[in-house]
Amino acid sequence: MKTNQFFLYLLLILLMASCNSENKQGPKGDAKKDRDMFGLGIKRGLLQNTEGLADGYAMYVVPNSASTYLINRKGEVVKRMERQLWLGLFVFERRWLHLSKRG
Amino acid sequence: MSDDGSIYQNVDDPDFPVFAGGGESGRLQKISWDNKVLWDFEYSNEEYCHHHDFTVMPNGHILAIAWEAKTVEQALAAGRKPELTPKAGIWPDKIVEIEPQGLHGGKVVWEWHSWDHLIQDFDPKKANYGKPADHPELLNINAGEPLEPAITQDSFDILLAQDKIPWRNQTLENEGSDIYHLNAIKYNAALDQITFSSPHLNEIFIIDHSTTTAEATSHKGGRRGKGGDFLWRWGNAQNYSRGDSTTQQLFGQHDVQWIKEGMPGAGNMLVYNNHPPGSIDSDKRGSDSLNYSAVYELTPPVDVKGNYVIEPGKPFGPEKPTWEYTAPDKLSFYSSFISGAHRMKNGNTFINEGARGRFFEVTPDGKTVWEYANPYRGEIRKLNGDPNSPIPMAYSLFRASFIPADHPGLAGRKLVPIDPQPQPFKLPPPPPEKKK
Repeated sequence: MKTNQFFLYLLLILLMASCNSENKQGPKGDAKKDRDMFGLGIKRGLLQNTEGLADGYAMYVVPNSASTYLINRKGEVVKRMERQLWLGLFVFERRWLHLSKRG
Repeated sequence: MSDDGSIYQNVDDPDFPVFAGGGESGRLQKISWDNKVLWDFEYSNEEYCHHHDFTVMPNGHILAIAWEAKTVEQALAAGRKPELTPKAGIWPDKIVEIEPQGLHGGKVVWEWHSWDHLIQDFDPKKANYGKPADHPELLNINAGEPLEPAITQDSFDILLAQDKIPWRNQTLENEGSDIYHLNAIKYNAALDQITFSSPHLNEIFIIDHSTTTAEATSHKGGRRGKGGDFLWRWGNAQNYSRGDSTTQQLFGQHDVQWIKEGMPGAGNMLVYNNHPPGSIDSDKRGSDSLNYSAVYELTPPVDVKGNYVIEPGKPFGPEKPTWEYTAPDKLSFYSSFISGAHRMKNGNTFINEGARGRFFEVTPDGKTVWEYANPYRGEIRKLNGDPNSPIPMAYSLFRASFIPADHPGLAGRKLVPIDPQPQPFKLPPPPPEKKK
């Protein structure tokens, strides 16, 4: 079951990579065309910026890591904070793939 | 982020017992701007365990969500249906207010238990018997999702061997014990009220925090005179028999919160609705077609005294969101789980589409003006040294927040791009084909 699932996602990634190579859209277009909920094939990093926005930063915990990043409006990492132990809020959701009624 | 630049975070406690079901952490930490542990507090044992979310109060106390274990006997005595009761018992949620003390200490100074506010119409010989429709301020202990179909121990062992049982304490007996799965909590200091979200009930709630702990166990007391009973609830009136599936508004929602003072819409509530009505049946999560998410801004109806209003026989309002965001094409914005949103000072809304690890800023008319997709992933491994599979949640985020440049925690900080920048994560190539 796991092997089948792995190959299914690999196939999905390859298909999306193939689509991207033929259709040179901007990052916005790539993100919107990808119907995979996890976005494994979309362009990553800064996708869109607009002049005149409120000055500030985005903060988030990097998955599968002890790091928290602050990102500026240009998509650059300006601060990395590290906690001692691992945040446990990510592996749990994998269960969702097996038992659909979890959130 | 705190005003001194420190941050509070959930941390995976290495040895919490009993509990499983997702979002377990059992431990809270406060980390300084320069990465020193200022507070490291364990809140887990065989009777309770912190999970999913917490919020920091203005006085520095922490309001945290926690499971508490109830035996089968306790569940049945409270009116829980036997067919909804796992062999391990049930783990209804409680909320605890923790006063941090020293480096590792914490004192619970206030608490609220969902267990104290139950009703059931299943068995008149058991506790809490009554008509749920007459008591929207109480929680029907039999509301929520049915148990998953039972599997054999052999099947369970196979899933375990296949690494498909990701929760450390998960057993055949405790599947379904996490009956409410609270996944978000916020505090409104002006109202002295707490809001929280239960995706298993598909509802968001407000309770009074101005009670004493003793009053919070009861139906009287506090600023609103209702003790620890619900002041307001929204999203699924089926749970109190004042609605049906056609009137359900929330499906698996996350990140409920009040819009903060000084921001457009202040006092209203925001919630990320993972599956709005019409997008998909909630039983079919996981399909990648015709699904979409929405962000709702809600205006709970209140009277001149600030009491939440509910008309006889009807569910709590509002009937519709005050504001709503969906993607212009509906389908390009979707995360069936995790995710969140919050209002910014300029009136825009900052949204985290969690599964994809994409966060973006939209104007009130729904125009995207900034957008970023997380390219990073760490290298934490399992205890046995094996890597954690990046498929499919390679870039997924539980939360992402916009921190304005004038936040006190950033005052005087030198915020220039670090050099070198972290290396983006690239999915590994597929394994070589085996020769037949």
